Amino acid sequence: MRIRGAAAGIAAALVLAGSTAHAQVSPGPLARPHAELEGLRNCLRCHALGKGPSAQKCLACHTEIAMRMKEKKGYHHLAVTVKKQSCFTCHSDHAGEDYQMVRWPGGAPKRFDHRDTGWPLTGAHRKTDCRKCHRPRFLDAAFRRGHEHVDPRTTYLGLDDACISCHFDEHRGQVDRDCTRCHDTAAWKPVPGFDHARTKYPLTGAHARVACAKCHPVETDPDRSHADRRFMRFRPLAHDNCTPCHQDPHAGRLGSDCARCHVTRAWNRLRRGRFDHSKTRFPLRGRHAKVACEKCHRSGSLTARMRFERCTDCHDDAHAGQFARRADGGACEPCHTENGFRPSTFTLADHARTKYPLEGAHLAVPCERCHQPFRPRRGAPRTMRFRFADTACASCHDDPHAGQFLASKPKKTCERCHRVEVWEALAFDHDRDSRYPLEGEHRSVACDKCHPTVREHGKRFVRYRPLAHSCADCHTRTDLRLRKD
Amino acid sequence: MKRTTFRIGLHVAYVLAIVFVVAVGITAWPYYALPIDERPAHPLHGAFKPGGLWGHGLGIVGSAMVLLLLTYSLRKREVLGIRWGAMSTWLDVHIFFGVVGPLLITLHTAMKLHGLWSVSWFSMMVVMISGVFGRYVYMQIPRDTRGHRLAMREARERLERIRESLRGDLPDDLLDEIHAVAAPREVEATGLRAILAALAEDIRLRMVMLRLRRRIRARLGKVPEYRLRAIVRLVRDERLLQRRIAMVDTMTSALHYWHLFHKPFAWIMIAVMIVHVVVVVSFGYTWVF
Repeated sequence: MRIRGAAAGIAAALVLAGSTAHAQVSPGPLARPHAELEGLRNCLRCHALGKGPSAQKCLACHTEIAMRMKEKKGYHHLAVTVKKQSCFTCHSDHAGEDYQMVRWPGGAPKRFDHRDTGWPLTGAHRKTDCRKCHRPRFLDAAFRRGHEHVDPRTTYLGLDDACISCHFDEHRGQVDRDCTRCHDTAAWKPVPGFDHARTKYPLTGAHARVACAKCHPVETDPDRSHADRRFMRFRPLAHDNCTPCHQDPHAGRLGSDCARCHVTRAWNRLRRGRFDHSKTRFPLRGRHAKVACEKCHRSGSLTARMRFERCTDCHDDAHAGQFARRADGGACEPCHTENGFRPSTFTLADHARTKYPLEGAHLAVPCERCHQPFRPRRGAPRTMRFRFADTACASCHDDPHAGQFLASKPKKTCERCHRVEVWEALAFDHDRDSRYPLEGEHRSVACDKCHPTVREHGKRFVRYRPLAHSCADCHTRTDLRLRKD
Repeated sequence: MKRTTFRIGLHVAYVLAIVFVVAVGITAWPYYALPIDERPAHPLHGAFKPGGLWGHGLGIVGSAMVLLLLTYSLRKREVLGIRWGAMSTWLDVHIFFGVVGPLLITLHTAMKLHGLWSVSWFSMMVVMISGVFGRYVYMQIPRDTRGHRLAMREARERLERIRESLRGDLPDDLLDEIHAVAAPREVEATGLRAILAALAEDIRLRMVMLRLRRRIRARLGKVPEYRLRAIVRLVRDERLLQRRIAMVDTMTSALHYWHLFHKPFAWIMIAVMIVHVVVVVSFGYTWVF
C-alpha cells in the first residue's frame, strides 16, 4: 500500500506540475489584444454555453464594429465574404499571444480590397500606405470619445468620409466640405469636377483663359499650424463689377458698370450699340456719331489710348498746315464743326478780323475766287490757299495795265486809282495823280483818245505810260489849224 | 472465433489503422508543421484544427478507443460478470486500442498542447509507452494460450515437454551442439536491471537462433522448412521458458510495480479527458451533432 500510495503521489505531482503551468482549460493562450480575457472566469465573456463562441458577445465589446454594422456600413456589413460569417471564422483565437487576429488577404494590409468597405480606393489613394490615413490624429473625435477601448494606433476604423478628416483644408473653410465636387483622387490638380459655370460667376470670354491666381489672389494664412501658409482666396471675393480685379482705366468717369460697354471676350471689344460715347471725353456729335468706330479707332482696339484733343489727331489737315502758325495752332473749331467740313463756320465777320478784311466787291466774291486750290508740295493733294505772300491786289487780280505802273517811282498800287467797291469806280484824279493835268478841251476828250488800247506781246491793254506829252504827239497840223479858226 | 483468425484480423486492423494515421498525418502535415499562431490562416485549419471536422472526429474516435480499452480491466476483474473471451484476446484488443487511440488523439491535438488538456495527453503518452513496457514484462511470466498465468510446476512441465520433443527429433550430438550454441546466460540482476538484461538476452537470442538455423541445416542436410522452423522455435521456446522460469519472481514483482505506475496515469488521463469532453460539449462544440 505504501508503494501504491507513492506511485499515486508521483502521478498527482506530475499532474500538479502540469496544472500549475497551465492550470486552465483554455485550448491555448489568447492573442495579446485579448490578454485581459485570460483565465477560467472569463470563458463566458466570449463563449455562450452550449452555443460556442458568441458573435453577440464579441460585438458587446467591439462596439465600434457593432455600430458600423447597425448603420449598415463598413467592411463587416458590406463585404460578401464576411457578411454572414461568424466573427470566429476570421478572428479565431487561442493561437498564441503573437497571433494576429486580423488576417490580411495576401498577408499584408495593402492587399486588402478596400472596395469591401464601401469606400473604394481610387487614384492616388491606391498607392498610399494604409497608415498614412489610418493614423490616430485622423480619427474622428466622436469616434474616439465613444470607443476609448480602441487602440488608435492599430484600428482601421474611425475615419470620416470627408476629405478634410485626413487632408488639410487648403481652402481654409472657404468652400463646403464636399471636396469631390471639384477634386478627384488622382491629384490635387487639376480639378476635373470644378465648373466655374456653376458658380455665381461663370467664366466667359477671356476670363476662361485667365490663370486662376489672377483673380483669386494667393494669401498668407495667419495660422502658423500648417507648413504651407499660402492659400488661394475664393470667397469672399467681390465680383459685382469688374473693378475688384481690373483697374478702371476711366478713373471712375464712366461709372462702375463696365459690362454696359465691355464684354469679357476682350477689353477692346465693346458692346456695339450699348457703348455710350458721350460718357467719354470725346462725345460723338454731328457726323462723328455716324462714323464707324474703326474709322477713328484704327489700331483695331476700341480701348487703346488715342489722341483726340485736336481734329488733326484723326483728320488730315486739309489746309496743309497753312494755319499752323496761328495762335491756336491751327485749330479747326473756329471754322469747322462736326456737322461737316463744309460749310465752314468762317463768316465775313471772321474774315474782317483777318489781315485782309473783305470790303466792297470783295464781299460778294465767292471764297474760291481768291482762295484757289494749289498743291502745297509736289504730289500733295490740292488745297485752298489761305496764305498769301501779301495782300496786294495783284496777288489775286491780273494786272490789266500790263505792268505799266510797276516801274513808277514811287511805286503806285492799285488802291491809288481803284476802289474795292467796283473796278470802274476810280479814285484817280488826272490833275492830281498824273503829270499831265487835263485842262481845257482835254477835259472833254474821251480817255481812249489819248490812251489807246494797244496789243503788245499778245496782251491788249490801255496805254497809260509811257505817253508823250507834246501836242504833236497827239494832234496833227490840221487839227491845230481848225482849232485856230 | 479461432485464435488465428483473430490475430489475422488484428494485424489487418493494425495495418489499416497505421495507414490511416500516416495518411492523415501526411495530408495534414503542412498544417501541423506551422507555428501555432500561423495555423488559423492555413486552408486546412478548418478541417484539422482540434475542433475541426477531421480533428474533432479523430478526437472522438480516439477517445472512444481509449474508453473501450478500459473494458479489458472489466474483463480482467470480471466486473459485471464478464467472463467470455480469452484474456489474451482482450489484452490484444486493449493494446490495439491503446496504440491506435493515442495516435488518433495525437492527431486530434494537432500538437497544440496547452493547459490542462496537455496533462491528459502527456498522461496518455506515459500510459501508452508504459503499456509497451508492461506488455514485455507481462510476457516474461509463463502463461497458457488463454493468457492465464502458469504455476511453476506447470511451467516446468511445459519446459520438460519441449525438451522431450527436441530429444525425440534430433540426434544427441546435434542436441549437444545446439545447447552449446544456445546456452542461456544466467541473469543475476534484480529489478529494472534484470528486466533490461532479459530484454538484451532476448535480442541476443534472436541472433543466436539465426546461427543455429544454419548449423542445423548444415548437419541435417535437406530439411523441410517447416521442420527447420519448428526445431528452431522449440529451441527458442525452451531457452525463453527456461529463463522466464528462472526470473518469474523478478518479473512478477516488476509487473506489480508497473501496474502502480500505469494505472494512476491512466486514471488521470481518463479524468482529464472526461473534463475536457464535458467542457467542450458544454461550450457547444458537438462536432457534427
